Amino acid sequence: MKKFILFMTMTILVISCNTEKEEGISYNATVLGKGLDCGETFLIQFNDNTDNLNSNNLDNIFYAINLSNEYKIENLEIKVTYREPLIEEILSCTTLGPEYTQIFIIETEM
Amino acid sequence: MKTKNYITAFILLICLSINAQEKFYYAFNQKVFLNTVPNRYIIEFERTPDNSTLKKKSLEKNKITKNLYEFSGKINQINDIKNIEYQINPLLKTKDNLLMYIKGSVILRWNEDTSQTQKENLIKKYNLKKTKTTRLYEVYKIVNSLKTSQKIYETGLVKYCHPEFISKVEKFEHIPNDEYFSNQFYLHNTGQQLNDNHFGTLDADIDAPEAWDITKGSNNVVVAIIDEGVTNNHPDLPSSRQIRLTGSNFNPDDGLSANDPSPHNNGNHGNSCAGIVGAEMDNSQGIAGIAPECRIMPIKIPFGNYSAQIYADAITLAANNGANVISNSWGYSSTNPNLFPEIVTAIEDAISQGTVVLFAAGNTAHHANGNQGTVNFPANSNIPLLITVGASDRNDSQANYSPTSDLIDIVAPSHSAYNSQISGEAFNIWTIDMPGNDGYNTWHSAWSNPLPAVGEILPSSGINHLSYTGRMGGTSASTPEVAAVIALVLSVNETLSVEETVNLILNSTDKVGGYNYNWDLNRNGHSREFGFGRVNAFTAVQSALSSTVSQSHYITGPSQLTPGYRAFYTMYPYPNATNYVWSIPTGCHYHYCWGITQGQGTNTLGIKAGKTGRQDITCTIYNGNTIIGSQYITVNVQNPYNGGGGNGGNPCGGNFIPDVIYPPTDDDDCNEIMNLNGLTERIYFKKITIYNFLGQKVLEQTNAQNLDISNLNTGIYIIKGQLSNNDIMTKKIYKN
Repeated sequence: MKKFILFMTMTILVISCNTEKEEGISYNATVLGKGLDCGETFLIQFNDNTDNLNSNNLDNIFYAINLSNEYKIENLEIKVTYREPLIEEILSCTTLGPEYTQIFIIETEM
Repeated sequence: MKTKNYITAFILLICLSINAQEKFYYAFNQKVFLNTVPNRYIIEFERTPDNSTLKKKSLEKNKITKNLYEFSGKINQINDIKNIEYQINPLLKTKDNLLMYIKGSVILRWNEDTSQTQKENLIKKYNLKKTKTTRLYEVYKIVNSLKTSQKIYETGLVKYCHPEFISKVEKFEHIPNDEYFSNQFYLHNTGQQLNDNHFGTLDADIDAPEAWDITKGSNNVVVAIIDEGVTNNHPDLPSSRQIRLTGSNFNPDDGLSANDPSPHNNGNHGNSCAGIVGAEMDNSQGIAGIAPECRIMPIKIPFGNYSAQIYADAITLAANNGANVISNSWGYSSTNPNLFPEIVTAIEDAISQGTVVLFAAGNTAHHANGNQGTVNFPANSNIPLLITVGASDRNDSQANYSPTSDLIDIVAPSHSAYNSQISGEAFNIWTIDMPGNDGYNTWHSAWSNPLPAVGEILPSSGINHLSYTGRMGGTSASTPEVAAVIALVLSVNETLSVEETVNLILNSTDKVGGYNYNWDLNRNGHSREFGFGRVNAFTAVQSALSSTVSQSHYITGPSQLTPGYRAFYTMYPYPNATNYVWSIPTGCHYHYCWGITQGQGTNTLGIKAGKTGRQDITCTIYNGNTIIGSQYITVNVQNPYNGGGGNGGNPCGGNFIPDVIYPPTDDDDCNEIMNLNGLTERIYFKKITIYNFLGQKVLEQTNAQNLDISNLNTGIYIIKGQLSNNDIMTKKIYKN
C-alpha cells in the first residue's frame, strides 16, 4: 500500500510539474542559421502558426536551444517539438540583433 | 485688377553701384569693412512666399531664416518675382570670411541726450518704420540698410546704428581627422548619406564634437566593457589604454588564458562596444571614440547557456578594480526582473561602490508590426540608479526594435531597423573590428541576419580597413555611447556620486522625437519611447563642468590669519589642469610680509601672511597656456595679540595657543609653532622646557628665538613654555 501511495504521489507530481506543454506536437520549421547574439545557438523560423508561444515573438523566428548539431544546416526543413526554457536554460545574449524569443527543442526530425 | 492689387513688386537693387571700399558698418566708432560675395544675393520677402515662387527661382532649399533666402546666380534671374514685395541685397562677408546676410532693417540705440524732436526728424528723413523696441535698442525697417545706417550714425544722434545682419553663430567643436568619422552619424549627424544609402538628419546626434571642445576624457576614468572581449593593442585602441586584468576572461570555452580577455571566433561585439567608447581620435585612421582619452577595461564573458555566477563575478571584478562605468550590451530573454539574484546583487554592489552601471534595453520590439517589445533582464531589474538604454535612430526617431516601456531611461542613436524586418535598412554604426577577416568585417555568411546591400566587406578601403566595421547597431551600440558620455562627465568632475551622475546624464538630454514626455506625473520629462530623452554629450559635460566650478569656489584654507602666520591653501583639483598660478596680497605688518613659502604651480600653496586687512588669495588654473579657471578666497588678516588688527601690538606676544603644536622651525626672531591645520603662529617665550614622553627633561632654553630641536629623536614630547606675560603653556608636540 505504501508503495502504491508513493507511486501515485510521484506520478501526480511529475504530471503536475511537467512544463513540456507541447510535447508530442510537432511543428514545421526552417533552420535559418546561427544567430548573432547567443553564442553558437541557431535560429529557426516556424512555418506553422504557433500561437501558444510568446505573442511578442518576431516574425515567428526563435532561438532554438538544444537543437542538435546534425540539424544546424541553413535552410533545412525540420519538425520540432519544443517547450519554454527553464530559468537555468535561458541563454545570455548580446543585444546586437533582433532579440528573438528562446525555445527549448525537445525533439527534432526531418 | 484684383491680381494687380497684389502685384506690388518693389524691386530694390541695392548696393550694386557701391564699390567695395564703401561697404562697411559702424560698430561704435569703428568701421567694420565688408566685401561682396560675387553672384550670391539675399532676397528678403515681406511675407512668406508661396511654394511656386520659391520653386520657380530654386529657392526652396536655400532658406536662411524666416522670409530670407539666398540666391546664387545672376541678379537678372531673380528681379522678376511678382505678387510679393521683396528686397535684394548682395551677400557680404567680413575680412575673416564670416558671411553676413544683410536684412532690410537697422538696429540703433539713441544717444541719451537726443531729443524727441531730433528722433522724429531723423525717422521722417529716412522713412524709418519701427518694428521692435527693447530696453537697449530699437529696430527699424528701412530701404538700403547698409548705406542708410551709415548716414544715421554719422548724424551723431545714436550710440550705434547698423544693418540687421544674420550671421552664423558657430558652436565650438572639434572635428576629428579619423578617416571614417564622417560615417559616425551618431556622433555628428550632418544629414550625410549613410552606408545603407539613407540620409541622416542634421543634429540627430549626441553632440560629440561640441563636447570634445571641452574634454576628450581623462586617463583616470575607466569604462569596463563586459562583453565578448577586446583585441589587445588594436590599431585604434592600443593596449596602453586598456586595463587587462588578471582573471578578466570568464569564458571557459574559448581556449584562451583566464587572463586574456581577447575576442575569438569572430566575436567582435566587445570590440564594437569598446571602440564606440574609446577608439583613438585624430590618428588619421578608423573611427573616433567618444571618450578617446579614457581607459577601457575589457572583461570577457561567454554567451549562451552559462551559469549566472559568471556574469555576477564579471561585474564584481570590474567594480572592485576601479571601473567608473560598466557598459553591458547583453541580457537574457526574460522579463523577470529577479531572474538571477546573484546578478542583481552584483549590480547593486557595484553601484554602491560608486560605479555607474548601464544595460542595453534589448531589441525586442518590431514597431512596424505593432510590437512594442519588452525590456528584459537585467535591464529591467528594480535597481535604483541602474541605467537602461534604448535606441534612437539617424532621424531622432525610435529605432524599430527599441522597446517602448516605462523602464527606458535614456536613448542614444543606433541603426534604424533590421533589414530582415524593414527592407533597405541595415546596421550602420561604425566602430572597430577584429583585425583581418575576423569579426564583422568581412561579414560572415553563417550569420542568419541577411547582408545589407553594400556587400560583405565594409569598409573596403582605407588604412587597416579590415580592423573596422560599419555593421554595429541595436541597443548594443546605444549603451556604450551613453557609457562614454558618462566617462566624459566624470572626466571633468570626478567627484560626482553615482546618483549625481545619473541625475546629470538624465537631465541633460534632448527631448526629441515628439514623444509624450509627460505621460507619468511622477516622472516629469519621461517618455516611454525615449526615457528622459536622447543623450547629449555637450550638455552633459557642460553641466558637469558647471558643477565643478561651483564646487571649486571653495579654496580650502584658513580665512583668518595673523601677520607672520604660515598657512596652506588648497585649490580643488581642476580636471586637465597643468598649472596652478597663485597670486597673494603684498605688503607688510612690521617685518612680517606676505610671501609664498612653497607650492607655486601646484594646487596647494604655502604662504606667510603680512599686511593686515581683508585680502584675496587667487588661483588661476591653466591647461597649457589656456586659462581654464580662476578662483579666490578672501582672508582676514588680524593681529590677535593686541585685541585684533591694531598697528601697535607685538606680533610675538599674546597668548594664542593651538591645541596641538608641531616643532618650532628656524625663522625670524620668534619661535614658530605650526598646528595641525597648517597655521603658524609666533609666540615669544621667556623660557621653554621640553620633556620626553617619560617626563625626562630633554631641552631647555631661555629667551628663545631659534629653538634647535634637531638633536631630538623622532617622537612625542611635552613642551612647557613661559610666555612673555608669565603664563605657562603646556602642549604636546611631535618631532618628525
